[in-house]
Amino acid sequence: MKHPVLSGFGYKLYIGVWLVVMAVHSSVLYFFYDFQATIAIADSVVHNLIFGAIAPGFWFIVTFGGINKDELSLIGTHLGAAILTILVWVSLSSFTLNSFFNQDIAYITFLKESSIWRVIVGVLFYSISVLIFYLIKYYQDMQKRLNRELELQNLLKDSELRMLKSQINPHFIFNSLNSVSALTVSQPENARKMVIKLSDFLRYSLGKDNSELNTLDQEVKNASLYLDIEKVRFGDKLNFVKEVSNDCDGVKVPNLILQPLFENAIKYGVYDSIDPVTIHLKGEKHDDMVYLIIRNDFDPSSVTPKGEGIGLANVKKRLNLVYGRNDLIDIRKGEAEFLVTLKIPIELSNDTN
Amino acid sequence: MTRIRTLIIDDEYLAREIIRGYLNNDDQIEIIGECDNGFEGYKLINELKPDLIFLDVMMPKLTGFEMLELIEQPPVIVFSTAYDEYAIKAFDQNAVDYLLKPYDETRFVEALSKAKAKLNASGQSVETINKVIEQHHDKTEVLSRVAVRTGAKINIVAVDKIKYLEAQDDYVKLYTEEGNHLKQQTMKFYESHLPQDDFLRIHRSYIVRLKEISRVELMGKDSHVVLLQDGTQLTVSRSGYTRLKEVLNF
Repeated sequence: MKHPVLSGFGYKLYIGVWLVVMAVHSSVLYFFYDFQATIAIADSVVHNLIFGAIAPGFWFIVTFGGINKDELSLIGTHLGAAILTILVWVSLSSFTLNSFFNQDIAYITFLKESSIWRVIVGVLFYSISVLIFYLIKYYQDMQKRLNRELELQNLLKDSELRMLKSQINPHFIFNSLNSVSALTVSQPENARKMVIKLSDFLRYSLGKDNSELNTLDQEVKNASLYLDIEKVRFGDKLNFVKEVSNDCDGVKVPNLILQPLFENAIKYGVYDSIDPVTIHLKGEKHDDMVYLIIRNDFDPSSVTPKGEGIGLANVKKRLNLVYGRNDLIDIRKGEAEFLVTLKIPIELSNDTN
Repeated sequence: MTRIRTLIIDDEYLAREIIRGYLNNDDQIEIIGECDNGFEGYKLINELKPDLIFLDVMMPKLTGFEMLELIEQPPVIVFSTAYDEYAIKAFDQNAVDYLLKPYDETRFVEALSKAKAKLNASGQSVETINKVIEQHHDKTEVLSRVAVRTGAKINIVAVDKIKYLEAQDDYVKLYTEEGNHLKQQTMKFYESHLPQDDFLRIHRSYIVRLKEISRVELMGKDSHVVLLQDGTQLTVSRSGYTRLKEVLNF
């Protein structure tokens, strides 16, 4: 733990405080007790300088005195320290001043008679110093705890985000590789294209840290890659129509936020349908929001297996974690159409694009 | 020498192309058809009676497993899928095999020779297939749909639509708003695979959707019946009554 006086700039404040105390002290002696200025200043300087030199040591009692001790023994420690401090302080000050001013009878008498007041002032000084040190210690502890809590929260958020990250479906990879395997014999050129698309898609999806934001055009490019690959597998059964207005391109969105939505569209639209399915992506900018609308038709007669909606719930959670808002996703299921609208707030820092 | 009449069922054209390519290297094989979904597969199997099928699991409308449930005399089957969670150890010892996509020709030929050995023996026993289906069911925790056959037609019944089930010999009759369907299955199976919160076994012969119950009435000295919203009366057994009391809190 940092010493409040000895480290940083604390000593400046500390010296300042003691200078004020010295000024008050000498003024009292000069104005109320009619001592000469030299004597008043000397009395003040000697007393306060000595106490000021001892006081930073109390910090160690405050910080380490409480460790492994009960309250009673802590009080004992403080009592002992106070008595020792005051004893040393009063006698050392008196001795020093005595040897300077032993000619001045009036002052020597005052010095002797005032020792009881010095003790009281000592107790006061000790108490105030210790109290201030306790306050500082408490503040430092709290600051530390707050920092730790903040760190923990960030860590939690991080791991939560990582968990929510769209995991690449292994079946998608294996089925795609199976398509590549077929293409190598019948259409080698397309096999190569497919491998390159798959690599680009994997590089994008595996390499990204989930807490990062990415530009919308990058996201759309990646989603197109994904749909291109699926199109090789499903042929004419899958169609993709994209209308994203140019002014949306540079807008930052959480990365891979579109991926689960397209996966859903494929899973519930294309996988479970015998007829062709069209997936639409529309992107529009209105005021300080970008609206991303993903629409796909599905076969209303198909009884889809349960378990849908995890992908969507994760997207919602992620948007909430990143933007702190719960109203950024809207899901509508029509007769034969599924529609998801994402609202992405445009953050001011991204507006330069 | 009669050739092995083979059918390929997979929803991806390229996946079928691979199988077709490998099979063309074997002149014992005659490819009699191809299709891309379970409905069509069911139809073709019944029409063409193939000796051997290559079957994908995840297909639109009707999965490979659901299709198999409906076929009375299934041919020898080689699965071809990317889903290794369906891979069942039992396959390795049986004539049927389980090919994990993507696979090479060596692995394919190995599966094919296992299938041939099985065909030469006596054809595949129905038990093996049933075992496969059963094991598949064990892995599926909660049912969401049931494939049933009505005449030549296949229906997919959403579990949400089932009002109650009745045991009828080797079959279970599913009662829904739209009509009733017979399915070769056991009550025990449905008791454990229907959503536990929605259905309850109230009798040796009945499983009922709790939401459908409108009243429970005393009938005779200490036997009870439940009245459904559509007026149907179902007998409740003594243990069924205890379960009912527990679930409905009365």
